[in-house]
Amino acid sequence: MPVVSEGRLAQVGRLRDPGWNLLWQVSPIYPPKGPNTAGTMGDVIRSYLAAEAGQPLSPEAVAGRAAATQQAWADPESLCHEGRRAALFRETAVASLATTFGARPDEIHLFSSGAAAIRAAALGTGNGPLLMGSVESRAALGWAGQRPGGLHPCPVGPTGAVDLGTWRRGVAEAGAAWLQIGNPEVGTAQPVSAAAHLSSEAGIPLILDATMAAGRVELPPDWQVVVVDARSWAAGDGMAAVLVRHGLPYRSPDFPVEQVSAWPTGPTVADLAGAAFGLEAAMSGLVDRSARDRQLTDRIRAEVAQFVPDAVVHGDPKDRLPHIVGLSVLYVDGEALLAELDRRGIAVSSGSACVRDGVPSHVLAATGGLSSGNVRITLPLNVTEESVDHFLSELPAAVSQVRQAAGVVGL
Amino acid sequence: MTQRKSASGTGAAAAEIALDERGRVCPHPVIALGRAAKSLPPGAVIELLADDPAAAIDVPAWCRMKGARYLGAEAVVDSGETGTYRYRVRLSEATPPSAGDSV
Repeated sequence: MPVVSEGRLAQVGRLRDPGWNLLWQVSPIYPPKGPNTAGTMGDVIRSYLAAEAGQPLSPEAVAGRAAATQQAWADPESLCHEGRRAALFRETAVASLATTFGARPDEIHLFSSGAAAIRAAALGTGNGPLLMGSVESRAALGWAGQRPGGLHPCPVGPTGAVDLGTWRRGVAEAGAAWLQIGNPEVGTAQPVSAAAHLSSEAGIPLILDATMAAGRVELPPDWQVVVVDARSWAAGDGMAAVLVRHGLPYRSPDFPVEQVSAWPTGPTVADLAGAAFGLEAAMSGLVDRSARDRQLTDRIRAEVAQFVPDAVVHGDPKDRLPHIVGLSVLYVDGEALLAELDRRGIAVSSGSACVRDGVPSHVLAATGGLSSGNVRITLPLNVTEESVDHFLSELPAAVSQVRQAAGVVGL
Repeated sequence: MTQRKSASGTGAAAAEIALDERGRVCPHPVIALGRAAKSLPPGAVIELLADDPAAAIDVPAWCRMKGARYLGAEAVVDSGETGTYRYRVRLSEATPPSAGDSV
């Protein structure tokens, strides 16, 4: 196992900005080789299209984690040589994350999960009611209700986009506003710039929930508060953050402000290094990946409509996140369809009631979309065209199989 | 919610059927709707009794997909069940498309 020599560490220490090149060179797994979304298990080819529920780590995230695990295992707060090395890794990772997001290092508040970051942003930003669309995440809606001013709900249209007329009235009564970049179930992009313009005119901060989008689409450059989760850019669990522009009204719901940078529940150094390496890689390939994602999801939308009888594809066909598709199939049990697809080697998710303890997805309830036979597809960062081909070749037969098993033929 | 009369004027003569899908969960209430629709003439009114919360989403969604008209839902009291609703839909006046290819 390579050990960082004094000379090498000194070299790393001199680097001003992400010193990754040197850190990479001491990693035994450099150069990284790519894991894939399609793999084999026995004789069955697996195609994984449920990235919102976790996804294969990108090779860069794996490399970052490995480098930190090997060399930054000491307590970064301790003053010995090994502790300073861990602190160096940590600071370099935070600086890299900040640079990539267009933030200053002191504008990043770190958490160990997306759920914790959502809670902090929903409870800690501004005063008074929190204006929020009815298709926001269940966690965000729940925590907004715990604020002193509570939740100020905003209805959405059939695609899931917030109603800007209600939003305009809402910003006058709310203390802060909250909006996903796009909906993780139906894919519809929110009218972020129009909504931001209205909240800004009313003088309240807008929190953007990018936990499903960071690393997959560009964030608006003039963001005020953004919630991110390294899971969305395939860097694994353990690193989430609330980015808060300097001077905006945010205070941690847990600690006095001066203690926010202490690390009692924060990410480990390995989580940070993986997230930082992974984010740089995701952002450097973002334009190409995003175009590829859109092409693949356009194909899914078109072929489902063409080849699956009595199916409906949700969300805005144009104004949407490129890596997400939601669809529902009539007369089909969502759980049975998931199982049939899984048997055929395909992993997807569902918002159908039968998959969710009897409660249908609140997103489909709010948009009026068919909730039975629901399939959620979230393309992983390194999705292959073969995985989508596989899904599209099996879906019509899987639907037909489930309908025949239920005796639902010719309706 | 009030039940609206059909604007087309042919509703009074149409056949009506009442389905009881209480205690059954998705997708069964909508399957029952689909089966009944297949056996009824265009413009017929179907009543569906269901306590599955997904029916509140899926009955209107079925109407949109099948060109039927969603006439609304009313809460059913004294049924001993919570959250039971009587849904009413009117089938499309147009001849339904051939269903032979739907599997």
